[in-house]
This record gives sequence, C-alpha cells and structure tokens, in this order.
Amino acid sequence: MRRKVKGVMAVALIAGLVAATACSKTDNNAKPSASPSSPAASSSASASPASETNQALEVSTVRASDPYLKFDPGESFDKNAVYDAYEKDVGVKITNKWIADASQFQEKLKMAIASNDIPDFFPVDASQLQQLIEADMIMDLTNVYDKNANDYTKQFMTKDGGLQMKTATFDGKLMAIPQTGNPYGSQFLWVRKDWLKKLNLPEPKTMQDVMTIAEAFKTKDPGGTGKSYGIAINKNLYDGVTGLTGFMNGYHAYADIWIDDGAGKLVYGDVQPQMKNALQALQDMFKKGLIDPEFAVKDTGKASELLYGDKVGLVYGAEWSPAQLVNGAVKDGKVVQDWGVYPLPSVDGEPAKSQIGIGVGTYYVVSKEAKHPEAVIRLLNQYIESDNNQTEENKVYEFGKDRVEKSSNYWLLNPLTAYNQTNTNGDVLPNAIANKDESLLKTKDQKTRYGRAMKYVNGDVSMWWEYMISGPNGAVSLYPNIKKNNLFEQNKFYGAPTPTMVEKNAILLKKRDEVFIKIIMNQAPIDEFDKFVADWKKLGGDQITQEVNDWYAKVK
Amino acid sequence: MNALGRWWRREWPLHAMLIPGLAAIIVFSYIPMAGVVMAFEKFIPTKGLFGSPYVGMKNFKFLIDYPDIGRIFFNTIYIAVMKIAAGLLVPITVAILLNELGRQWMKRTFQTLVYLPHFLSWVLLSGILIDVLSPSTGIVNQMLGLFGVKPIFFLGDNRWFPYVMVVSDVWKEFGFGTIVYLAALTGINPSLYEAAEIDGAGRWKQTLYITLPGMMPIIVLMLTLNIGNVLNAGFDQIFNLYNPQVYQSADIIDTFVYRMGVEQTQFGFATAVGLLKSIVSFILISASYFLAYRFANYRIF
Amino acid sequence: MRYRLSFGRRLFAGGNVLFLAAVSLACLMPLVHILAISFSSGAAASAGQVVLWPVNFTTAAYQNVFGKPEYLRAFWISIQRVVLGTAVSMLLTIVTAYPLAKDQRQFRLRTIYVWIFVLTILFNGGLIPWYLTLKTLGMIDTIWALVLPGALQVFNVILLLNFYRNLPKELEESARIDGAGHFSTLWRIYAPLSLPALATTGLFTMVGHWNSWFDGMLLMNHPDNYPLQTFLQTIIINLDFRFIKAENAELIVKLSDRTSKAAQIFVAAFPVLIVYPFLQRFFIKGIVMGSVKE
Repeated sequence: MRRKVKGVMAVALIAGLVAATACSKTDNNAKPSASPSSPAASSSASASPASETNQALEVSTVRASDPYLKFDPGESFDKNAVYDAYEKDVGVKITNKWIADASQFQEKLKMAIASNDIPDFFPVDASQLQQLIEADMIMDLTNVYDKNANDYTKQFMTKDGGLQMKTATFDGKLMAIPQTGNPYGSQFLWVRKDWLKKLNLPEPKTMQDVMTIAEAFKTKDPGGTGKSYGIAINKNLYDGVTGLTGFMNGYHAYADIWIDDGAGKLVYGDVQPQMKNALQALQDMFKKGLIDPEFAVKDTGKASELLYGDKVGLVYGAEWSPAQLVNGAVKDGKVVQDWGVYPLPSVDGEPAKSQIGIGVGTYYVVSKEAKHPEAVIRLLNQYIESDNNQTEENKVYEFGKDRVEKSSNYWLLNPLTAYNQTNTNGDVLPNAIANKDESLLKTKDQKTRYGRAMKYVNGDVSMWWEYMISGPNGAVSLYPNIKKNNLFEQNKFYGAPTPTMVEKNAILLKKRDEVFIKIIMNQAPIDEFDKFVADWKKLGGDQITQEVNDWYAKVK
Repeated sequence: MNALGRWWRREWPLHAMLIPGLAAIIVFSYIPMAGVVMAFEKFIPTKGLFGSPYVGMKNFKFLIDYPDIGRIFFNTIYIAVMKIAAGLLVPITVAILLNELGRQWMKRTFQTLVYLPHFLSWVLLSGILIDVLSPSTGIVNQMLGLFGVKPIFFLGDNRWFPYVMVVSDVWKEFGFGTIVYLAALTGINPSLYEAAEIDGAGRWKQTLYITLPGMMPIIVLMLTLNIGNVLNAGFDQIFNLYNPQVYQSADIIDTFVYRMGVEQTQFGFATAVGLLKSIVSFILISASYFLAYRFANYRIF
Repeated sequence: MRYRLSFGRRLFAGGNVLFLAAVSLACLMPLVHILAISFSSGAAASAGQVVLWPVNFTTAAYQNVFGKPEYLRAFWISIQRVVLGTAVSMLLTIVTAYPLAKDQRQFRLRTIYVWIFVLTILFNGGLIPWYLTLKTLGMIDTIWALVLPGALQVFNVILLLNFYRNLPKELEESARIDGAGHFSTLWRIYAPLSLPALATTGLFTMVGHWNSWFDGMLLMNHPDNYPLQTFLQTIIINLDFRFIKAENAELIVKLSDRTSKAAQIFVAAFPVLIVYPFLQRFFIKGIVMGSVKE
C-alpha cells in the first residue's frame, strides 16, 4: 500500500518537474512584453465561424452568473436563446470575455479595469464610472445614443425629466447608459400587530405613539422572554432594515444626503438641528432601556435575532424588510409572528418624508476601443421594447426558447437592462392579489411578485414575505398615499464626489459614527452634537458644502 | 584563475540547485514588484505602470496628514506587538506541554483539535465571539459572575478591546505555531535527555536546559519573521469586530485604508501604505538579523 | 525503560492532561457549534437558538451544497490543485533549502541568495502587476495559475533550511567520504532525515492550496474552472444592507440562510481534517538519532 502511494507521488513529482520546466520556457519567450496591450490573448474561446456569414456586429461583455438562473439543456452563458435572439433580431452577436459569480463580479471587474483589459461594454458603479472617465478608457456616447436610440427608448429613459440621464452626463457628454430604475422606495415602520392587540395599544400614528409602544413592549414583555427591548437597531445606523433612517426621517432629519435649505442652497442632513432632536430621542430611549445596550457591536443579522426571538416587536426598514423578518415570522410551516406595516410617524403635525436617492446604481459604459458602439444601443432598444411591449415573439427574452414561464429566470441573460423610473406596484399589486385578478398586472416584476404572493395565498407560508410586501395590507399598498402627498425627500446632490469629499469624507464619516453612537448610548451628552457640527465644518465640511453648492449652481 | 576554477567546480551544483527557485521568485515576485512605483504616481490603467503621472510623495503625505494618524499608528503597533509576543509564548508552551504527554493518541488528538480554529474565518468567528462575550448572555461574563465580577462589555469598551483582539487571535492561530515547534522538538537528540536523566535532572531542569535551547533556533527564527508584522494588526479580525464605539482603540492602518478605499479606487494610496509597511518590516528584520550575527555570531536564516 | 514516577511528576502529568483537554475543548467548541447549525432548521439557526446540538435536525443544508453538479467538478479541480501544487512546491522547497543551509565556507554567496529570497516576503508590488504578469504568461484560466505563482513559499524554505542546519554535520561528511555528490546527499540523507519538517511544510502547503479561493476567483475566467473553495464562496452571498433594492428581496431571504454557510464551512474543512492525522505520524521524536546509530 505504502509503496503504491510512493509511486503515485513520484509520478506527480515528475509531472510537476516537467511542467515547471515547460513553464519557464514559455516565460523566456514572453518575458519582454510586460505591456498590458495583448487583446489577442483574450481567452474567450468563442470565435464561431458561423457568424461570419451574416454581418452581425460583434460586441464583448462580462457577465455575473446568478444562482437563480437555470439553463435549458444544451445552453450556457456563451450560447443561449437570449443571445441568439439578439443576433437574429437586431444583428448583434454578444460574446463573454469572462463570467464570474455575482458575489465576486466586482473584484474581478476592478482587476480588469486596473489592468486595462476591458470588454466592449460592461456595467459599473458611479465611482468606477468616474475613474474610467478620468483614465480616458470609455467612449463619449452622445452621438451614438442620439443616432441609434429610437424614440421609444429616448422617451423611456427620460420619464423622470432626465435626472437619471443627467447623472451619466459629464461636461455635456453622455459617458454611460444609466440602468434606470425607480427611486421612490420609502422607509416604513414595522410593528408586531399581535402584540399591539394583546396589550390593547393603538396603531402608531405619531412619534409619541412609537415611544408608548416601545415602552409597553419593553415593560410588559408580550414575548415573555424576560429580555425585551423597545426597538431593534444595529451598529450601521443607516442599514435598510434595523437601521435608523426612518426614525430620523420622523424627526425631519435626513441622514447623509444633501437637502435644499429653502433659500436655494444645499445643506448636509447630518449636521442639521433636526438630527440633534432625533439623537436626543434615541438617547432618552436608551436611558429607559428600550435599546439593546449591545447594539453597537451587532450587525443586521445579529440584531435581527432579537426580532426572531420575540424580544423586540418594533423596527424600521424598507419595503423589503419582510424578506428579513420571515426568518422569525415563519416557523415549522406556520406564521407565528403577525407583523404590521405603517407609514413613517412624525414628531409634529407635518407628515414625515422618507429620504431617497436618485435611483441609479449601475451604469453601462462602452470601451474606447469598441468597434461597434451602436450595437450597444441596439441592445438597449431591443431590451426596452421586449420588456415593456411583450409579444409572443419576444417572450424569448424573458423565458428562453420555449417562451413559457418555468422559473428558470432567463431574463437574467439580457446583458443590458433598464427599468421603469416609476412603478405602479402600489396601485396594482394589492388590488390584483386581493381580487386574484391577473389581468391587472402590467410589468414583469408585478407578475413575479403576484406569482409568489399567490403561492402564499394558496398555502405556501414560506412566501409570507412577498405577501407582506405586495399583498393587500403589505408595504407597497401604502405607496399611493405616500405618492399623492409626495412624502419623499430626494438627495439633491448627484454629481461626482468633489475633491474635498474624496480627501476628507473618511474622517468626517468616522467622526459622525463615533459621536452619534456615543450620544445614543448616553456616553456623551447631547451637546456633543454641537461640537461635532463645529468640528465637521472645520475639518472640511464647509469646503465640501461650498463645492456642492458650486455644482448646484451649475446644474440648476 | 585557478582558485576561481576550483571554487566553481566545488560550488556549481549548489548554484544549479537554486535555479528553479530563483526563476520562480523572479517571475512571480520580482517582476511584479515593479508595481511599487504606483506609490509615487496617480495610476491610470491606460498609461500603465511607467506612463502614469508622477505625484512624488503625495500619497505618503496624505497618510501622514490625516488628523487621527498618531492614534492609528499607536493602535496598530500596540495590538501587533502584543500579538507577536503572545503568538510566540503560547505555542511554545503548548508544544512543550504536548510533548510531555505520555500517550501518543492523546498527543495526536489534542494537536489536531488546537489546529481547528485556524480553518474558521473571522466573518464567522466574529458572530460566535459576540455571543460568547456578550455582557448579558455570554458565557464568559456568566463565569466571571460566579466570582462576583460585574459584566464586562469586552467588545464595546476601549479599555478591553485591544486585549480581546490579542487573545482571540492567539486562540485562532496558536495551533499553527504549535505544529512548527513540535517539529523542532522532534529534532532534539534523545540521548541528551537520557544523559540528563542519569545525571538526576528533573523534567523541569530538562526542559530548561535541553528542550528550550534545542528549540532556540526556530524560536529566534519565528520571532524575527514575526517582528516584520509590527504594522499588521490583523485586518479581517478587527474589521469584523470593531464598531464606532471603540474606534479610539481599534482603528488600525488597514481599517483606515479600507475606509478610504470605499470612497474611491486609490491604487496609489494603497500601494504607498503597503510600501511603508514593507520598509518598516525590512528594517526590523534586517536589524535583528545583523545584530544576531554581530553579537552572537549566529545566522537566523 | 520504566520506573516509578514521583508524586509531583504524576501530579504534573494529570494537571497537564486536564489543562490541554480544556484548551482543546475551547478550540473544538466553535466547530461543534457550526456543525450543529449546519444540521438545524433555518428558523432555529437564524433565531440564534442553536448552541451545541442541532435544533429540528435536517440535512437540507448539505443537500443544498452537494446538490449542484458543479460541486464534483470543483472538487476534482481542487484535488488536482492540491496534488500538483504540493508536489511542485515540496520539490522546489527541498532543493532550494539545501544550498542555502550551507555555511559561508561551503557556499560563499549563500547570504546574498538568502536575502534575495527573504526580500520577496517583505516587498510586493500589489495585485495588479502580479495579475498582468500571469496574463502575459498566458496562465489565466489554466491550472498552472493556481499552482505555480505560489510554488516557492519562502517561509517554508527558511523553516526547512533551519532544520537541515541542525542535522549532525558528521552525516554529510561521511557521505562525502563515500563519494556522494550534493544531489545524492540531499536525496539520500537530508530529505529522509527531515521528515518532520517536511511533514510540517507539506501540511502548510496543502492547507494553503486547499483553502485559497481568492486566486481562483481572480485568475479563472469561467466558473467551470473554479476550485472548490472558490465555488463554495459563491454559495455565500454577502450583501451590503445599505444598498439593497426592492428587487433583491429574494436574495435577502437566501442570505439569512445560516445553515448553508455552516455546511459550506464544514464541507470545506473536512478533507484537511481527514488528512492531518495521517501526517502526524511523522512528528515522532528521535528519528535523527536512530539513523546515526546504524
């Protein structure tokens, strides 16, 4: 036995030796050219001769694979019905330079950019866009877009008045195609309805109600754990669930965004007096024992354990919060926690506005070296067409070659996407679900959500979360009213980070987090906030405000 | 000429043996090392390593000018030095104690078990540590409570945080060091122990006069190599465990660089910090090497 | 050789066993905890109810991890990587450490060579030039990109050369007298005698190859070429809770699935835990002496 192992080892050793020498040979050949410009060596093994016959424009991209995407037999990322459809319908042949798992896509992309080895078009975030412009690696798309985008596309991309397109425009040049989207996502208050009933408490309408409920949840301990608190928060104060954004908005304080001061100037939300009020309220809650004294070491997942374990029944979060809450709400095939969703309560007579961003996180850029930039716009036209005006023919872009829904998520294969800048989910979904009326559904997103909510209605409790988001009493059912009263405060600054931001933001954010957490935990008096504001201004805040306002004057 | 020829004839096999190793480090270390020029430039991918604009010491100045930089350096060195010291003492002690075990199976079992935490990532361990160290429910505070100690908020208290980092890091990694020292123990000539036994030396004396001196070369080697880490306080660990409450005692160079990088892709800045660390470790390691050679006539490596 | 142990000695031995057992237990606990989570239901795990024993026992997490066809392919690539990587690495280390273990009289340039190697631990040019070099060599997307760049671990060379130096000088001298050259001295005397050190460095190399996932992600252009750890990383989805959009709700449901993470860690660590005890038989006292006596 042992001899056999030795034999195997010896073979392996020899193999290794041969390989090592073989490699040092290649090294000798290749050594002098340390220059990064060797596109010929790109390893995409898909130079199919078939495409030569029809004059399809070839464009390369990079893709993030997705665990939800299930290929039909014989298909793959390199060869599939969606890519084929683009080639047939608009004459664009898409090739993949590389494919990485979604979780690792960013890391891989960073390396590709840094080594100047980019494909013809690819998705980036705002800071990468900035970097690519500075490095002069991407193309000015102004003319290409103008000439090739059809009227429907142009209209679709500017439904919001052109704000999102503007974020991709630098010095009057369109440098990227924004992946348009809906910015109107509100924060909500989530409360255990079963506990409210048990303790005979009213539904929360004002900040005072929130305090009353939190105190009752703490002192009367409806979960019976003996370790209850009033509200669940975590160490990252602005997370989408177990964060404090919604709480602060209730005090008309807006965290980390730029707002109009009413006199045409932009000011930074974190240093406004309203923020002091919000922090004061949190400190009072902490003193009363309504906040877990260990919150400052816990992240969202850890803080959520309090919710799952019946220790806390009140939390702020975005409309998707049920996707997190479901872990505690559904146990052994039963819904054991009854959550209710409420619009943000306000501290005074003025209704609370939820803070929102611009709504674009992703931009599609085109390499300066790309031979067929117009092909990218063709893809955009076709995607918008197929997504918004579905026909039997173009269902292939959503479902693959057999054109029927089988939850294989084929739509993920579209290399370039753009979504509606407003959505009607709030008007449509609660109604459709309550009446089981499929005919009301308009968009793909609505169909998917409807399908999941129906599963819940038909007894699959694991889909509880979708019902809580989209159902008749779900989060989105509150949108029509929120929109009617325009209860949003949108970030007014959407330019590239200013020079002082780049230099000073790290220290300013660190100071803020340190001071805010200390105030909340009652380790520093509330007046520390005034000192923070003074420090903030001195350490670069004033300069940043100046730069932001210079920018504002230009775009106004 | 003749002397040279003789020298060559005697030494050429030794040179030849180094060729594959040298080839490997030239290709995979020395050629990429050209990247350090990024520390002095604003790296632009299209212009490449040698075409990007030169910015002089700007990246270093940026680091030095940061208002909290003194605190950050202090934290880094404070935590790192304690880790180096504890990371040396604990594995040596455990290796000696393991070696004292009479039964082979025990030795093997314990040796395997202490290596286990090495396989767990800090992302995961941080969750476990938060539970274990919780002032209200954590087992550590419950045990301390038995002795009448009031609950301690280990991860939220600036006085405790650095020590928690040291202890938990040693706990995770000492199995690795233990393996190295155990290998060194096997190299000690057993006849030395037999002779000492005959002379009537007890176990303690044997450990002091045979075992420890026998391990000394490896100990000195490990210490020297670890000294180079004086500016590496452990990014993964601290990043996963720190919070604004303990920034004062927990913010280290690497977490600072990370937070800078969130805002922007700063290749030049990151490289500059890396280069600074390399220079410091180079100075410390070569100093200890030459001191050992000069005063003890001993070559560490 | 057996004689009565003194009382103090026995007391020490007992205390020692107890102490080491306690330390080992402290090291074992987290792993047991993770194992328990991996066999628990998702609800129990995310509510933090699982301590050291599974709650609502299920093997769903393992079915999730093993249930993918990619798993086997990734496993095979990892095996290749470990075998090939360890073989190449050990060979290089053994050969490189030998000349460097000589003293200045035998090998005049040794100190310069040693520093040439040591400098590579201290300085590096960062990821970008390293990546560019591998790309220029055409290694991207091949197994060699995982095997060759880390083939020479200078730390292991230094460890081994220190071990070589502590071998009795007479051994080498007697080999010389028998007319053996450097190569045969190395293979016939040094290598066999340094088994404990080789086992140590071999273990570190294997574990290193088995555990690393970052290079697989960076250097492979297609998930089909991922080694196991890179593939397993893809099962864990990490989300930044500040930037989640309503469309990602489904991801969050998946994210909070702690049981799969736990299973993933276990599946990843298991093979090393199996191999390690086999290597331990090399850590036996007194090999050196035995061979000198012969």
